[in-house]
Amino acid sequence: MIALGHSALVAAFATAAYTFAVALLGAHRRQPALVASARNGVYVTSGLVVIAAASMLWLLANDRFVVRYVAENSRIAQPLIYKMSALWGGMAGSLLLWTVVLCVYSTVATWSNRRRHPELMPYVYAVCMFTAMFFIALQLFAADPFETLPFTPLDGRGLNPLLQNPAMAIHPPNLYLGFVGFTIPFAFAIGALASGRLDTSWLHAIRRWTIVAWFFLSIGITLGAQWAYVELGWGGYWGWDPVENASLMPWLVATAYLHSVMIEEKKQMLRVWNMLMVIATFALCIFGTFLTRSGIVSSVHAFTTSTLGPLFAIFLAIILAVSLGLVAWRLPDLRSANQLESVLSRESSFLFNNLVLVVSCFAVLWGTMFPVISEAVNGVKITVGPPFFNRVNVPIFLLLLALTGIGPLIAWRRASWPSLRRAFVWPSIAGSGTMVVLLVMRVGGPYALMCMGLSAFVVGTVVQEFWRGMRARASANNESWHQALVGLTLRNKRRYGGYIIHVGIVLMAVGITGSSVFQSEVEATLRPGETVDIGTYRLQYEELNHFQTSGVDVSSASLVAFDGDDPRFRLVPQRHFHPGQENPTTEVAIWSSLRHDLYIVLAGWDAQQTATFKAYLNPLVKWIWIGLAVLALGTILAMFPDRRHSQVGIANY
Amino acid sequence: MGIRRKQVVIAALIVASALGYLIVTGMRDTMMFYYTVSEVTAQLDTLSEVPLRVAGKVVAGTIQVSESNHLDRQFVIQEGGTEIPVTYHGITPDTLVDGADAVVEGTLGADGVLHATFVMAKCPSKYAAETDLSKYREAGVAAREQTSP
Repeated sequence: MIALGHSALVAAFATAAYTFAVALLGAHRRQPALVASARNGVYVTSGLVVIAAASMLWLLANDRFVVRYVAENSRIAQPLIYKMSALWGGMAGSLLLWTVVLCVYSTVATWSNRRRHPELMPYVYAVCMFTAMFFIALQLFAADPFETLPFTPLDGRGLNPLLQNPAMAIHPPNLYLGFVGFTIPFAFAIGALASGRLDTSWLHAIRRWTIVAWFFLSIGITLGAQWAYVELGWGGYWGWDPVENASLMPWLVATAYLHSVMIEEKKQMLRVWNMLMVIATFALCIFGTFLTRSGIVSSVHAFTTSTLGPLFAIFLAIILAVSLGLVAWRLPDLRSANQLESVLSRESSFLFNNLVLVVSCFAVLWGTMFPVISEAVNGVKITVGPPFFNRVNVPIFLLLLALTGIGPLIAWRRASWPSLRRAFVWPSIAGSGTMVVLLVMRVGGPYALMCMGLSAFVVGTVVQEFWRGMRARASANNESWHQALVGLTLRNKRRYGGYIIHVGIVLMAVGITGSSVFQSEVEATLRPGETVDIGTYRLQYEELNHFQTSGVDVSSASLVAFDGDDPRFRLVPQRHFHPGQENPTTEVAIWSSLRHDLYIVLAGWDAQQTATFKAYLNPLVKWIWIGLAVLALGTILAMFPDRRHSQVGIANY
Repeated sequence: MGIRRKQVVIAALIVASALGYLIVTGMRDTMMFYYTVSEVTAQLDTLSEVPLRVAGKVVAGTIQVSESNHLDRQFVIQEGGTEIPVTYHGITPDTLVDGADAVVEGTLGADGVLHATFVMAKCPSKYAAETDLSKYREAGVAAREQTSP
């Protein structure tokens, strides 16, 4: 089985190389037979990589500890599901996962386009296979998942218990489905540039791919934040750690692209910009993969320095050189005839949306890489932490929130004052009203007020859009209001799905603001029976227990939360001591409601049962996760294409 | 370039410069030097009361947790042959154990003690380049010796 897995990888490298060469040759010489052979090459390569991945899963499930990777990431007592998730628990396995996701995506892209875009597809095969070759080469020469030990251990070391947790198990695959997914749009962009087919056909080909990849990346990032919140015990969910930033940067640029592409589709403008956005998204995905494995920036996700760093840098350099070279070559053909006409227009607001997102991405990149840059320039490493990122990004996201409300409603080309009034009067009232109410209640400082006001503004615009569209349709088609609402949404899934996504973003913004600005915390050392107050709750420490469960030593404290004199709920923060692991794990106790989370960590105890606790009251955190669910639903809706009929009964703004 | 197009460009430049200003002042106000332990001890006098980020390994047996409140913590980090004592008030990460790679942010007091505001210790072994499986080797060898006649 080890031999099967390893030789499958070797064979896949060969077939990927073959496919790469034949695809380019077939495109250059315009020989459909060669291109058809390349298409088969994609299928064969994918099949071989799947065999390699399946072999690894078999080795993990069957405790073959002679394989180094299995010994490092699994052990006999590990639950089967975590033996399988160990596939992405370590370096070599994660590379294998990257490759198999890439191959599955390539197969789907190849098969679904087998009768379409004939000028573009050869280049798509070539780019996908070239990327696959790189990742397979990493596994063959630098981090071999099938490497064997000179002896067979009786048991493995096991996966880090921090990773044996459902959210953590699916967080990497989600991220990979996102990162790797952006390879396909990039491949089509290269295809459009190389073949000269620079019209909107490549945009239509990649539309759903970009949305699907963005969908998974959004979920992956938020799941990572949720895991950090639940597992790590510092009361927060985002630390601006380099690895977190590595996943955020492609997301920012991909979001920018998802908006600017609409301008290109409607007005054939921003064509060079869109090319650069797609290239930048893919480059940032590779850069993120590089950042998390090279060890050049210190991070809590500590990956020790390895030989992989320079190899990634070379691959990234090749990618950028080829893609930017192609853009430079095609520059004359990419210039558009249409021009921006006014600051007050939809084109402009989308452009500002892009500008703001790109500046945010640049700020995050700058802050993350500054230690490396300053060391190269000055010999001294200078770093920045969360204060920098928050200081720069909070105003940026407020601006973005405003644009989220303005962009969808403002007129194309040049918005007249009557049209602006019609579009924005009610939402502005909602927004400013909210700010006034909060100001009177003396809730929060300027940033929080603006965020809540803008959130109300955006929600106001969305409600208004649904309301007006629904009413127009209901009267034109003589439908009931709910028939009209459903019909309206399904008729224009992209638009109304997009609105739902915006509402999801707003909910997340509200949750983030609430939990960061209004967080309170308290520390207390208590004997059994003593209490401490936080917010409107009184927490009474009951007792401390020690017991064993599934081979894990647990120290468990229980506290009862009183609201006034009523006991409301019990919280049980714990510490777990796992056999074979050097450090214990903190199990945070969280009681979550829509209004706030009560979050308690057990810091320590002594033989007399005196225990120290740190408690946080985090308002509105749950809205972050709810916002993600809304965003996900909106994205799923937007994934499906609309039939292109004339829009009867729906007002055009 | 028409007048209106110029307006768009100017607006974009204003937004970009405002954000650029934020980045520059943000960096200036929040940046800290990142040194290893030996680099710090080499320049102790110049680095007093300066925000620092220091990387080193936790010296075995030096992690102490206050008996009274379990939150006042101390440990010593070493690198390149020199050591720095660290104090911290709060819950240290689970990964802070003997020998762990630690990164500590804080200010160096006149007493040469690093008063930490943030402690990070490396998440063990996710993508470690080399792991020591020798303890399993002994078990494996012993097992083989038992089964062979």
